[in-house]
Amino acid sequence: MASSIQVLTFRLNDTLWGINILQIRENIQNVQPTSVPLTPSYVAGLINLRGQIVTVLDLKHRLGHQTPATKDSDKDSKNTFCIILNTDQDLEKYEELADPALPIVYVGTDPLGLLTDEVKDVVAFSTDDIRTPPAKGDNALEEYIYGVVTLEDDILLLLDLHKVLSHDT
Amino acid sequence: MSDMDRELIQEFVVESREHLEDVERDLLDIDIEQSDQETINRIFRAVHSVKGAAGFFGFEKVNRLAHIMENVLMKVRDGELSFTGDMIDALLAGNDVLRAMIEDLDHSEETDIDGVVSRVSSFLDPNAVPAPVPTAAPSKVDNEPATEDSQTEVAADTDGENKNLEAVQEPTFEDVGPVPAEEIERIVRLGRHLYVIENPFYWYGNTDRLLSTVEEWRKLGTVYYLKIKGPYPDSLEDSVEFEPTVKAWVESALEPSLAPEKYEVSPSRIKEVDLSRFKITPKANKEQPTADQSKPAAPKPTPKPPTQSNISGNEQKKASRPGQKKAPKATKAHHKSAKSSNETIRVKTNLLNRLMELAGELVLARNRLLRLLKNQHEEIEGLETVLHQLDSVTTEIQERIMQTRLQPIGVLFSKFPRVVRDLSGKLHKEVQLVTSGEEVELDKTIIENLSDILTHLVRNSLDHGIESPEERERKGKPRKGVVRLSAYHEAGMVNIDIQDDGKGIDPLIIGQKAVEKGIISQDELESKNDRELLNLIFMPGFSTAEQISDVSGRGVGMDVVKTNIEKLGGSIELSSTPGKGTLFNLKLPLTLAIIPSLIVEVNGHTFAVPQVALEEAIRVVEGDPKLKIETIRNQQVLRHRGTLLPLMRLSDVLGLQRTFIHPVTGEELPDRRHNLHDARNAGDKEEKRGTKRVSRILVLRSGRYRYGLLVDHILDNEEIVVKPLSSFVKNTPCFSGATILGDGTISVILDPGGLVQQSGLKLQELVEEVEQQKEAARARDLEERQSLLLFSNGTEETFAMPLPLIARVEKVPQEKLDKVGDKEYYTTDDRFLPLLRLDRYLNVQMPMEDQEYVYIIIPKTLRYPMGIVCHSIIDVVETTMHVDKETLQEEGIMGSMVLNEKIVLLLDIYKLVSMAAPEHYSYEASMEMRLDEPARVLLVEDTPFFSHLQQRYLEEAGFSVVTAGDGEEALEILKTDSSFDLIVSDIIMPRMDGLELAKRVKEDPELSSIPMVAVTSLDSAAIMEKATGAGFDAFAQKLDKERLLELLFNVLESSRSGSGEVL
Repeated sequence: MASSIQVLTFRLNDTLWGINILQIRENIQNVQPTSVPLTPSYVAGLINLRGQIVTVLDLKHRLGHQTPATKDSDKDSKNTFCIILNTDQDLEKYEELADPALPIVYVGTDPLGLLTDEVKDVVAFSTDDIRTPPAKGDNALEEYIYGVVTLEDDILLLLDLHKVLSHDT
Repeated sequence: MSDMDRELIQEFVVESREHLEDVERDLLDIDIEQSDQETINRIFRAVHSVKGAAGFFGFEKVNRLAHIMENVLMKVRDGELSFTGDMIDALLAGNDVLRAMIEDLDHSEETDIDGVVSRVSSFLDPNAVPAPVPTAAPSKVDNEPATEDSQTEVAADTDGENKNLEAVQEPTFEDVGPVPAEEIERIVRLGRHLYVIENPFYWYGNTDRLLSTVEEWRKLGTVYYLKIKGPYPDSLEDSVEFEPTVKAWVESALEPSLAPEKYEVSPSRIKEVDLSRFKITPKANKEQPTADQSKPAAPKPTPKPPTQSNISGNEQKKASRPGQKKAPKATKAHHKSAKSSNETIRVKTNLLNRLMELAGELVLARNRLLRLLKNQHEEIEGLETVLHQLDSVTTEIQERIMQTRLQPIGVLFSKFPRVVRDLSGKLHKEVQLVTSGEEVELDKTIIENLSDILTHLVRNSLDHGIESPEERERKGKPRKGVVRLSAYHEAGMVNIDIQDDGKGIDPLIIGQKAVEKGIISQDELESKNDRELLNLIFMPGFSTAEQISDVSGRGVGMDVVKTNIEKLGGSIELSSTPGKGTLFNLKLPLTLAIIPSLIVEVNGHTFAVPQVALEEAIRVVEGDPKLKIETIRNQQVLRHRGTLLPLMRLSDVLGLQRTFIHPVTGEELPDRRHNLHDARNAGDKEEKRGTKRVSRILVLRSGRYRYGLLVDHILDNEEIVVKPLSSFVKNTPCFSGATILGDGTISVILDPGGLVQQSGLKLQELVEEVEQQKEAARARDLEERQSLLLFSNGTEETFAMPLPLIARVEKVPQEKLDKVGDKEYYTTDDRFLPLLRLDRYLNVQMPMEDQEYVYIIIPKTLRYPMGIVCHSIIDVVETTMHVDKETLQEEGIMGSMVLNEKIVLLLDIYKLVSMAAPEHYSYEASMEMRLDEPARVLLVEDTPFFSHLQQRYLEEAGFSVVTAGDGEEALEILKTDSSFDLIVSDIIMPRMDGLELAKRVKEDPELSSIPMVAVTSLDSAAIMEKATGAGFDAFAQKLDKERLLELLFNVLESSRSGSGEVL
């Protein structure tokens, strides 16, 4: 039986992405992550969120959007939206609310944030609308797409958090 | 009780405590077969002192128990009895009870000691029925219900709430409880063990978990009886409030030392039931009470609030031992101790933890406030005072709270004598445990976590380190191995050493194993030094045990140990000398939560450096001539305070060197400019020259290494709360955490040890290198160095001649050489100098073609001067004379040596000229004629090359030569054989130099008449003077054959003619 699912949408370059709203603790803006040397390029750095240290990942780098611009300009202007994810502790509480069509992804106990270009609305749709990603094979992004939803005026890609947060790259 | 009395009693407690600790140690130490009188006396005296003082203060029970122990010890001392294992166990049990009573003197009279008294006294007269000893004061029996009736006290003793200490060792019949007699018989027959477990219900939390635990027990052996006493625990809170107890009788083959671990209870909650009385005489008189006891033994149906009246102070201490992680946290306060002393109070650990966290937050808030108000001091009146107060109070709160969590490590160490004793018995080894530094304090969490780690390491030492007594004897070591546990403070860290004098670990074997197990490759093996090899045992999947034993685990060992220590913010290092022993060094922080640190900046990044690792900070101005930076193996080192300090640039280690895209090629290239500052002002050289760059070197210590870390700025000192790093930034060893600074920014905390790892700085190799250099310098002082002139003929050969033998070198045009027949001459100073071409006399290549110019080397001190022609002069080098005389043997060549990876032929100039002009060099014969009779020479020379060479000259000249390697050897020879005509000695030699030798010879009336000639490669007046002062009669240059021989003949002649004038 189809049920309704809510996702938070955001933009990376021109693509619209979505993350299950149960995974998200909050959105913040204008973050200036403190970069940490010797970490993968997609680790933007650490931020102080009310006394808690949050590790921030740069989704664009993570998804392989290699922007030719230097890191500095990234920091200054565009990537200032940050989606803070719920940690496992919170996620346990939401387990029963989750729909098997878009199950909860456990992200670990360390607080994590994802940098995006722009955070948009929360969008609701039926689980029936989720389609498997097209296997075109020419898009490096494919492996990070959990599913595709066609909205009225746009295509929404559901982010595969599990893939994004796995360490092997 | 007067204050005076209190004071005295306090003294008595302290003193007795010490005595009894000694007694325990000595008892554990005692070697049953050959107990030495000294130890027995010491135990006896200690117990005696306790007895006497207890009698003085009127502590009857202490006095009575000590007395009976003293009696037993006296008989042992007098040889009437000898120690047995049982006796020592009984005495230990007695000692435990004594200690318990001493720790809680106010209630000592309520303690039940009859059991242990009868156990100890049974050794006095094996046939006697244990009975109250005469010194006991029956009238003193108090009115506590538990001890009112000494006959039934045994029952009361075990009713679950009155857990007496001696119950641990002292069997009572109630102990066998509901276990059927035939089962007991079976257990005894099979040599199995019967245990009683009594554990608070909340240990298990809920019934399900308890039942699953019991299922686990069943795998170990029969579970006879299980009972939960107290109200049925509906909730966890209830279970804490009324303390229901789980009681069970179980049977197993497990040794008592392993039982607590396997049954997952703390050692104080599981007791072995002593079944020894069932072994020999099942119907002995002791068993009589069985009938009486079986009834009261049934668990009491009605729960009653715990009285704990017999739990002594010591017991309480044990209950909160760190090893027992789940020790009761919320037991009701002991009503009597609360009455007698308000010195201690139990606090839930959770509460302490929360306080600790809050203190941390408080520190952060304070830091922020101080920063915010930095500039407002003058505007707001009184602000400064308030801030000061806030500052100091916060600091103190933090310190005090930290202190509440500190515990002496002694509580941990104290469990090891038993561990070692049990284990050594099991392994058939003889091991003595020595502990020190019990008073060193550590955070409770750390102590708790250390228990397993230390147990593992100690077991490891016993199992793999200490050899069997027989093997030790074969190796000439004492039969008894020693394991040392010591704790001490060093550089703000607590160090714990676990050291054994066992067989040690061979790094090569470790390396080979690691290769076998695929942990490292063969190539890696070869590139590692001993220390690195040893530390491979901390790699996952490495187990050194040849055979996995049940003692030290199943190969999960060392990597887990290391990980656990690192989790505690500590480190572990292993060092070992094969055959001598092994040392594990643990370094641990005092506490985990808040660390003082230094905030530094590099390339615009800030980092926190833990103060514990920091020794000092050195200010460095670029280009400062006083800054002694040298390079060893491409590694910059700073000579600082007499040591060499390897340097690393933090920006390099962290890869902070910026890269830039080449505008033309588009390549990513390293930015070679030194730092951010340079990058911004690139091209602005004029300005840079004016202001010299200042940076800092932090002198850091990590493990055994010190190094200097170059940073741009030091920003601040701050106390920081360590927060863990997420897994995304944890993959580098450089960082140990992150923190939020006072201004709200985030800083990563540097790990000084990790930086070394990351940088690949081979500190150990550097240290070794420096050692080698020192060693070489020392050797160089002793070694002969000789200046050599290197030259060639334009061919592949390089020739060498000792520089002191050369008068001069002249560069002359080819056409100035005159040919007469097959001989060449060079006219100089109106003289004809015959010339010698090497290719004519030696088997060497011919020069390809004549050059415009040639060089003529003119040796000095040749009776018939000749010049040697060569094409080019290469160099003058100073070198040690490691001459190979074997490989290239040829007339005219002394030998060959390797210089700068090239073979150099050392010319024998005397031979060469005698080959070139034999008519002038028949002097040997003529000189020999000057010797009226063969002369004996003692040649003292340490450098083999010179020794051989001079020996040859001397023998050719007709001397008979005896050689000695140094002054000492020479004296040895002279002791037995003083019939030398001459002593020819080098001056600089190891052990005893020539000057000393000369002095000794001249002092000795038997030898003083032997003339002495000094030879040296040093041509200095000072040396000559010294030599003469020491008693040498003459002085000559080494390798200056003619002068030497001439001198020797002169000396010889004048000594034979009785005159001392030679020079």
